[in-house]
Amino acid sequence: MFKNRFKTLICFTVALVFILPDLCCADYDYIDINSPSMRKIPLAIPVFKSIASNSTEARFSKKASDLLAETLDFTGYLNIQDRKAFLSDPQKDGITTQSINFQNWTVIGSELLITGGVLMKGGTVQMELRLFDTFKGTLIVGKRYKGGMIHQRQMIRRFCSEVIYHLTGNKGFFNSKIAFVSRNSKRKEIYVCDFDGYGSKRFTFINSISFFPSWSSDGNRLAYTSYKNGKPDIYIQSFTEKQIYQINKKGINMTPSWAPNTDALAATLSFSGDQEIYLLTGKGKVIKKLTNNRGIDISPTWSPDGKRLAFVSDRAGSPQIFTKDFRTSRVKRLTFKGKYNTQPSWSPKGDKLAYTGRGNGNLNIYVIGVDGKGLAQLTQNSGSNESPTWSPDGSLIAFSSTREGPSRIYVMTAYGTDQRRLLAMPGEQTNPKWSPEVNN
Amino acid sequence: MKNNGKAIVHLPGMPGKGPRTMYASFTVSVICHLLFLTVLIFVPGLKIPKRTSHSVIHVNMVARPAKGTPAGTRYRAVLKKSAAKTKKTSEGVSLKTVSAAPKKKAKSINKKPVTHSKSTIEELKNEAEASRPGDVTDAIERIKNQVNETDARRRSVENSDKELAGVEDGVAGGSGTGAGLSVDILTLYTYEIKDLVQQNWAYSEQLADAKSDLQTFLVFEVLPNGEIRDIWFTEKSGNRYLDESAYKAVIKSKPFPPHPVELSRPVVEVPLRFSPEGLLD
Repeated sequence: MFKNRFKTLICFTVALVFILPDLCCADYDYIDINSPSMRKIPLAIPVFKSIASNSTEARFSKKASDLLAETLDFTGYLNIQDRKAFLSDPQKDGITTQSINFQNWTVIGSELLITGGVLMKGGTVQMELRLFDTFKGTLIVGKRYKGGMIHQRQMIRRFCSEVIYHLTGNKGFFNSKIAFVSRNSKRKEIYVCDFDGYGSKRFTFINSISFFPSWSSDGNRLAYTSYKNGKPDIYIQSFTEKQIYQINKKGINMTPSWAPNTDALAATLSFSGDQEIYLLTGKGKVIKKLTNNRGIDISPTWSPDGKRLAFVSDRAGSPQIFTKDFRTSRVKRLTFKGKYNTQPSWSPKGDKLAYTGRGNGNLNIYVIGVDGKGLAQLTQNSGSNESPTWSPDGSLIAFSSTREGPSRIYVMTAYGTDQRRLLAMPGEQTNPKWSPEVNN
Repeated sequence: MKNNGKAIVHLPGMPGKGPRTMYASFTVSVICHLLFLTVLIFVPGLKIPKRTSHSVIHVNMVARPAKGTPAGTRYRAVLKKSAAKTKKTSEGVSLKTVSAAPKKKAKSINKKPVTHSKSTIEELKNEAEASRPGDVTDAIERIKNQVNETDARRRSVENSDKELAGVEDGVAGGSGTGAGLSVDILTLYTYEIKDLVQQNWAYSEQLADAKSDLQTFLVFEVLPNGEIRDIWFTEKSGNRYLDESAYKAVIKSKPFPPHPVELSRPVVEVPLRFSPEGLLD
């Protein structure tokens, strides 16, 4: 009997030991917050401090701080705060951690703060830029740049890259460029501009129709299609060398796409009598056939790891996007919604594809997961929207649109927000292609 | 001493007293433990929250913009309206009582008050006024809707049999002032605080690397004057950016409105679950 009581006691004690923690540490009745009011992070950029306090320096400081604000605003996920709301003036209060009263910034909602100091001596400019976490009251990154006045934009962009790197862990897109096609009268030429539309320059001078530009991984070459010889052929042109390579086999040669990190590209050739996608060297020699199906296979785009290829094929009866995995040689249809889905562009993170699809008579930009899930329409009710291309960090998508009449190049976030025009030029602009992020 | 194949354990300090004495001692020990554990179960306030970071915050910032009505007036209005609207309101709200466990005494960090221009203060006041719900009725409706949308409602319904009997009677009669009514006011108050925090929550999916299944849990204590006494994470998301954005949202929202006069509590705990799932489909 004593033994039985003893066993009961032991069991009771063990049970209590297991139950007690749950009783004592029962969960709170949490209230859910799952919809943030702000999708952009408030960032304060006061006018940079003029260290020598002269008018030339003050003008330069204002211009440089405005440029920094514009450049970071381009990311689409930072909210540059109105300077009228600022309670502190770095010109008087200072720009270093010790001299900043961070409460003056947190009280107006700033989560990040960038201060700058400018010192001009002779023809050179020295710029000190610091990014702070206002809530922690700590310096995140600080850099000092020195150069001529003409290097202002370059210095600002370098610091922007530092800011984005410290906030997101990637290099951003501030050293990238965008190639596009601009049409004047009957000619279409390839142009290149900075990521923000600044400094556009003509790249081809063929006086014909050129389109479908594609960047090499090192950003030094562009492959494109041109009707220079009366039919579509592929041209490979360097930014630094004069020599131009041609792929001008019998039939059509078009839609080149550079493979990642190799001197090779995929393109559609029809010398065999059927339009198939081939792998070619950077000088235009055929390495091997990548697709093998009766019908049209066109517009290849590589996954970032180079192990898969997406392309457009009419093998299902209408233009649809397919993917081919080179490890298994398996071809899979990706798009099923709509009867016209083209111009795929693989995201730099490798998880999504953007493409152009037709629905209700209009062309629009869509995004879909590589597994075929998560289809999202990013543009709507705004003319025809075509040719999506991802920024190197995958945060933005450039595309062409006729929403304002003639076709222009626009940019939006990868979620379809913040759609804005990139640049204004005479004629029409189409076929944007974003370059890789290249260190300069 | 017989040895029937059993091992005999001699407790220290009791040599040679035999197994009966040992069993007796053991029984006394078990009973004492049980008593202690039982006391632990029935004495409230033993919930010890996990405080992983940001242990104590007591920062004096600028005073909250003055409101048209003195503290507590609004809640009296809410009280009258909710009483007039039958017992439906009280059924729809979460009824969990907040633990009154003794907390670690908060450290006070006195920081220099911010000085700024009068016009800027006026602008801030205007902005703050504009961002506040203007009409009490709207506020009640909004809070009621939000209450209905959360799991808190389900849990409150489950617990309502036990905890709400007195509340229903009291509210329906229009003169109840018991614990149930206090809970009703408490819920309205915590949901207003939640609203303020949500208005100040800035979150970018790009900075957080766009993972929709993240969530972070934090709790903070609001003193009767609306100041925050303490914030702690009960569970972090593993994503530093989300955790920090939630923490900043709370700090940016303070000071909160003072406790309603009907709410006689030394402190109100507000547990919040932040999840960016609303951003992505």
